[in-house]
Amino acid sequence: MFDTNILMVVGITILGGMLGGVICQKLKIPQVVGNIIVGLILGGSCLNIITLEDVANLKVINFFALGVIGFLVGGELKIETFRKYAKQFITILIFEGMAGFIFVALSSFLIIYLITQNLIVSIAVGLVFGAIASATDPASTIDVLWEYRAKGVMTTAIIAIIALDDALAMTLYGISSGIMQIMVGGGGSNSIMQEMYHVIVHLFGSLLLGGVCAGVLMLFFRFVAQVEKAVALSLGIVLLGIGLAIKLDLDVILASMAIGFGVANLLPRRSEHIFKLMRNISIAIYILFFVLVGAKLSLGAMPIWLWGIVLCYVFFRNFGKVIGSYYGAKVVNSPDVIRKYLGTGIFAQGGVAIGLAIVAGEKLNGIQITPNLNMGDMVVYVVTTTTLILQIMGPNMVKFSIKKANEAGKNITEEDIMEKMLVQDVLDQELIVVENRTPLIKAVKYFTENDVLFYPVVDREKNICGILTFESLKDVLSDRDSWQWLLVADVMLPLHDLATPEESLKAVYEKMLQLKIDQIPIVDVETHKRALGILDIRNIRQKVHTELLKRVA
Amino acid sequence: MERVLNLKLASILALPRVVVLESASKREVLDILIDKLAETDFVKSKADLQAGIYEREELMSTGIGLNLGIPHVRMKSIKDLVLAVALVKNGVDDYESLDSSKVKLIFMIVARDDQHAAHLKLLSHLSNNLKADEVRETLLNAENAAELYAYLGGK
Repeated sequence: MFDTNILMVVGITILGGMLGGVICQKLKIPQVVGNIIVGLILGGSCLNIITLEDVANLKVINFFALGVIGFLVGGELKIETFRKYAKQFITILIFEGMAGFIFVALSSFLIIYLITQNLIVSIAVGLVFGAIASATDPASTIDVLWEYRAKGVMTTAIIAIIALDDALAMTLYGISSGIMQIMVGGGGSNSIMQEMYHVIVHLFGSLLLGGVCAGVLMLFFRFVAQVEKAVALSLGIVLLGIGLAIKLDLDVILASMAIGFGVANLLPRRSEHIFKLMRNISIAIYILFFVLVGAKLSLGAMPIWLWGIVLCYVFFRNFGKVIGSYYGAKVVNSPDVIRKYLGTGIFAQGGVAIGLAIVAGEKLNGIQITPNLNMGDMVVYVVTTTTLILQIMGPNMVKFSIKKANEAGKNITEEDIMEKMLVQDVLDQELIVVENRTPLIKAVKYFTENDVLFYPVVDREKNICGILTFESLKDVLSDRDSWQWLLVADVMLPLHDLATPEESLKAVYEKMLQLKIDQIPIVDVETHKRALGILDIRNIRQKVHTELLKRVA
Repeated sequence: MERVLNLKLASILALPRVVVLESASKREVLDILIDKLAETDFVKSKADLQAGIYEREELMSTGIGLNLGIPHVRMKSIKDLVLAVALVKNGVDDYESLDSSKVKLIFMIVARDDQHAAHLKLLSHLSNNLKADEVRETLLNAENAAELYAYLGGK
């Protein structure tokens, strides 16, 4: 393989990831799956263009991506929704998390016991796998929700669960790891308490750090009016927050989630633009992140029997999530869609699981399971492989859930609608033109006789030369005598710009905003002179709004 | 007599743009006023102005009756609202007028194309104030440009 430097790797990663994303999009598979598969191809499992060393060098980008993802996920959580559904969500969370934990713990305990015949090691590994299995991945899940513009009660439930269950996973891991240390040796009698203390400090410390960052950000926002600058400011604070979280050994994603949550709820209106812009600029980082997720995995080095654990883990984890969320939702009387489809929407497994596996791996390195494999490596192998499978399966299942729940495509904005519409879609069929030589006394009658407020003005050759609006008559309305000698040419508004029916409605709308004009004449494509109508900015908004209501209904 | 005049045109009119003529044709008087306006900094192109004024006259004569003519145009090549005035003592024979009266007082108004409101307000202001017989009489009897300018609000 030829010599690459880190920037080349970044470039190849982003471009390759994009290509994979586009192919997946064509195949109607969530794009993140394409990113990960490209990572797998470019990484150690296949071409080795992205080496493990590169992945290690790009770790900082991983943290950056996790921070931005956390910030954006936090921004999706609205305090009112939370208040309204807190009981429901927390109950479902505990049910799905615990069900995944119990099923995975039991099944992996059984397999490992069959292989090792060592009860204590089997229980310890079972507990660790169970705890890790309760985590879900906010990044790829939210990516699919955005890609398919999902909106609705089930979507909200997915967002709340994926945001919260990292905390649950860490708590379960804290307890399990405490028990594990006591069982496999090395830990004192107060290990569980120590682990719990560590977990609590970790969770609350992360939230506190995020909260403080959000507070500082709000303070700075007062001095920044421009959205672009506010985004730069937010990025700065998120990066600082991530850096501090790493330094203080806190959770990156939880801390940045708290920043996003704070901003979205303290500045609901303004933050909308900030989150939107942030989402746009973070696409490249997202792609990079997911390609690296794939590149990190090397599938060649695993013994066959580990695949058994992998398959059991994946099956029972998913089974637990579906059953757990079904019964959890049933207990709190959640809507039918949550009961039926939430479970399949929270399959994805990501950074937190791998992070926990690496931590657990370090603690378990000393215990040999077979002559060639120690317990630490086994945990890391199983969790990274299941992460790969679940990262490919998860986004597809999120898509399945939102489609089944009929929540895909509901989160569309007027801007999205406008992007897909052409000028001709909103142009009135009725066309009345006024000649520039018409005396005002006659022209005024047009307004009383027709239900039209804007008229294209044409010259003798029938070429458009201006616009007559009721507004433009305002200054001579009281002076009726002048109507005798004033002509339409005297009161018409000059032509600032023209548009044609085939132009994108969004482009024309933006042009009108930029030129600060309320009406724009529409002319034929061939000559750009023959008037076809007038587009009024209020009319555009009204028609787009009606279209939006039609689509969302 | 001066007290009844309240035309307040000083901000858009200057003495060099006020002329008193004995007699003239429509073309002559319009050209003189176009020249006067073209001498100012407000008009970027004399040819444009000329074309604009005549194009408007072609649509309909700006002789609004009561011996008044208000040729006017709004166009891109004008920097700001500006006025020139001519008094033709013997009247302009070929200036078609709504009431068939001879046009004697000609107010040429030119404005930038986006000065829609200011342009119409001035048109309305002039026609309203010049409706009063005594105002018109005073103006029509001005002996020279300076006197006419003073009546119109200049010093």
